[in-house]
Amino acid sequence: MGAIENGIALVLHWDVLLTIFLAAAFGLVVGAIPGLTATMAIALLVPVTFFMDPIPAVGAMISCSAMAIFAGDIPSTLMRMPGTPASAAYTDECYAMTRKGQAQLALGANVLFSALGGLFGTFVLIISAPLLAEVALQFSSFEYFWLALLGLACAIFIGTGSPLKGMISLFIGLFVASIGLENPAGIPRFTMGNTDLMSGVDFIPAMIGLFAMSEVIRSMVSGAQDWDVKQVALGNPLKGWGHLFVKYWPQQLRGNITGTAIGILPGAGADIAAWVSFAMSRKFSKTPEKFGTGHLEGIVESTSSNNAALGGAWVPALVFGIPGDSITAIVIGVLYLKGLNPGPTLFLNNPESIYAIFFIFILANVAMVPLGLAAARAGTALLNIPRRILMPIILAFCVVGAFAVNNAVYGVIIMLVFGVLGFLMEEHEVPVAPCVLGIVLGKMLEESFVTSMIKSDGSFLGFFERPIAGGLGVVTLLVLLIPVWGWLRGRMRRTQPA
Amino acid sequence: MRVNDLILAIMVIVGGVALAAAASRLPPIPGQAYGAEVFPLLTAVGLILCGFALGAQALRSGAGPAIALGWARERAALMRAAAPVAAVIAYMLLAPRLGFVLATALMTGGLFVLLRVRVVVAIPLAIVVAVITYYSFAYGLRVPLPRGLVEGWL
Amino acid sequence: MKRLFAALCVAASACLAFSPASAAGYPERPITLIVPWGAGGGTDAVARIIGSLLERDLKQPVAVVNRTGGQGVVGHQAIADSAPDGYTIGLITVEIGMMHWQGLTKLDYQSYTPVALLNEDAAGVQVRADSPYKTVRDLLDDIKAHPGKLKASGTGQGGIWHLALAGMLASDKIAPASVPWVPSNGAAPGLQDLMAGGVQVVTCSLPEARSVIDAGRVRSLAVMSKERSKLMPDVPTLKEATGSDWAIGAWRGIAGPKGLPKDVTDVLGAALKKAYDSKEYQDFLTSRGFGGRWAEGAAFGTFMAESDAALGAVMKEVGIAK
Repeated sequence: MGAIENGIALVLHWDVLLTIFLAAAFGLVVGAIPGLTATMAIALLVPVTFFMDPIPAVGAMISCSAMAIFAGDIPSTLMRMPGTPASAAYTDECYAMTRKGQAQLALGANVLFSALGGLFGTFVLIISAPLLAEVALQFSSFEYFWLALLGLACAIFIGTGSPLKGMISLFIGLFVASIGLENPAGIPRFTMGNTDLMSGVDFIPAMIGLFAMSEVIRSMVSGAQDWDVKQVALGNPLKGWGHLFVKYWPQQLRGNITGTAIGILPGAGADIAAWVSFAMSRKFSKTPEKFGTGHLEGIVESTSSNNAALGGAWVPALVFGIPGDSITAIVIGVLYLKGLNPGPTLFLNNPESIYAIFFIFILANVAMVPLGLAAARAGTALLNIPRRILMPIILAFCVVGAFAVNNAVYGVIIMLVFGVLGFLMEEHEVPVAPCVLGIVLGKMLEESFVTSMIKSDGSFLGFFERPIAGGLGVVTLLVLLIPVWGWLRGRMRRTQPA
Repeated sequence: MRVNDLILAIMVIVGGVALAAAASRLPPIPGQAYGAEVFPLLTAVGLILCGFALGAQALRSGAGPAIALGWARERAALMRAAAPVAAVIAYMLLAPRLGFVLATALMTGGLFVLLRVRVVVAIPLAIVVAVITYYSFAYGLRVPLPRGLVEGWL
Repeated sequence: MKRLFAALCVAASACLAFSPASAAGYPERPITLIVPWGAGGGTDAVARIIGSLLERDLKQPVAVVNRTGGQGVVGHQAIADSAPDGYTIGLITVEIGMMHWQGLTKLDYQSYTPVALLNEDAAGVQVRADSPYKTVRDLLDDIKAHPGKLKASGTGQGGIWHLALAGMLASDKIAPASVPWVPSNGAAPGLQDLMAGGVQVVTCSLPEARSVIDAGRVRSLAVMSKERSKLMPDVPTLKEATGSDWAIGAWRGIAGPKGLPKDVTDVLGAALKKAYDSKEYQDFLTSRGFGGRWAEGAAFGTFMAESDAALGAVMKEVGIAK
């Protein structure tokens, strides 16, 4: 037990705690600004950590990233501007709650379930990191192909309205994902000789366009009239939370487990976790018709899921130095700089550092609650600003955010094109969320398919030969085929009596 | 403003066919049986199938008028819808010459005025928004926003 | 609308009244350092430490800016297109000698003013720790006997580590197509696939494979350079293992757009030399396992020219060059 106590003692210094707190506040600000991602927040921290001791350096990165992922939900809820693809899955649901005057309730639930999800992911990390890392390492392109397909299948369940139009939106997203040079073949596709187009279409400016800019246009059409709803104040958050926790514990638990499981895989992360959880929540819900109208159920499940995934990504990172996402990729570099070389030996030779890292994870998720609540309250105050003043300012943020993604005007052009596209799509009742899903998953689907075919010398059997791949394949096919079968049966019944 | 589902379906089909045509011209890759053209072709097939299904649905249930103007009948609403698009284009043209602060102030200020915010409020507010944004992004977050004529003194 | 016009006039006159001050003692305002690769990679790490050391020396903020995409084309283009005033410089990488052979861009090393080479990491040959291959000879013999059986990964199609493998095979008189290349998004996913059993060989640099080698999951059979690596002195060079002279590595260096004035390159070169020799940078190289390599100005230019010619020759042989 000595190592655990030593680990905690390493953290309990005022300077370490202060560093963690400041990094958390920084992550909160960066994450809340649309276009700036958790990865960027961490990258900005790197030069600062050069001059720090190992534990505060790693602590700063953990608390900063946890806070930034949660903070992505704030502009997503208030302005329909998802900060990260991980919050895009439930942006519309949160925004619908804001339109009903329940912004504080939505954000409060985001804070609580993000923190709980993060804690769940941390406990899994503590208990079974080495074991889980072994499982995660068994995932090859065959398994990732099924996972990507399973993710795409979610489009069938998340869209409200016509499923056909949802499919069209998904295919537009898949087309957008195929633009550029970043494909397994390494040749430029649909770039028309343009250098910028070679880098393809980054999903962050596309997302800002599809969600936020289209909303600005729509709001301008009606002269940016103020909403006639008043935002309901949350009051004592602890009272409401007890109720939420009791009511939504199955959703929360399911979200936590899904998120952690997907987060552990090095090739998949918080974004896929959030989409899968949101779709799952709707699928198993007793009131699926309420989804899309500002209903908490799906938000709870997916916000738990994306924060649980964050802890999961550290499993392969700490045990094998294999990054689970771009955040852990940076962290691995810092671990080396600080002499905490990741690997099984870190657990043997340096257990107190490992326990210190775990303890910081717990602290960061606990600190998320007061900081997040304060930010949510301050953020909701923004909604009191008249919308004819708010809309132009949101547009300015769209421009800066889209620029900051790759520090190029090209991002602003993407944002503009997708803003107009998103506006036109929604005028025609074509949902935009499946399009974002297509952009996010299209590359993974293609890469995993093409590389699998090279490995198996062109034999489709490869997708079922490996045990995990076979199992995932069967699940995916069932998820895809059951609605088709139900639809066919419904049709048969309808046509027979006539 | 919207076109009916039949026209939408035709647009989707045409888009799918164009994508298929462009994809089939991609070169084969040595060592890859499933090359660069496979996924765009599958996407095109998906679009075309969805287009036909949507068209069939529209024919069965009656498509309605070809174009429903809705809010677009009102000229002022059309102008307001075009304004954010025009503002972003203007920003992109002006920012490299004027710098971030002036271009942003013009973009937001113009929209404020269009939305009937009083000019005495609109102009100072636009400038304050631009300056604060510049400070926090260029200094706090080190985003290389375009520098023009006033950024040097900030 | 009248009011808007009035506002426009005010703004326009304000612009004309002040023109930017002329350059005197470089640098007198913040410098932007463009990185053509994403945050989290080795290139980004080198840029960020060099950036903070330059900042300390030049007393001006140095903003590290990631311009990713197009397998490096976009960022390299942005560096070449920037104004040659010394306020925008970039970290260029080995890919500058590859992209133009593939017909992806017209840019090559001549599109830049070379300032200083900072680092080079040679390619290694990695297999699973439980694989039957004890030496590169074993591996190459098996490839010769069963062409097409083994698959390799480590980077995208036509990337630097793909060339490393192809060049090694060609230097041993084996057709490069005998080992189909499985494209991946960098070394880490390739190594993961190696451990998952998806591929049998990964060619990537030793620092990239270090964590999984230390974890006892992966073994490095050889390193494709003239000298053994400081990080893993037990790994033989390819020359020692097979007698082949083939050597290849990924390098990174600071450059500016073409036509950077001499006073600017002098200031930057001196500051970079100081940064390169600093304890911080040398500690950084040691702890990350990166290999240091220094060349300044014209010497860096010559280095790039040689790298470009060697890469072009292999790419033609493999059939990747247009």
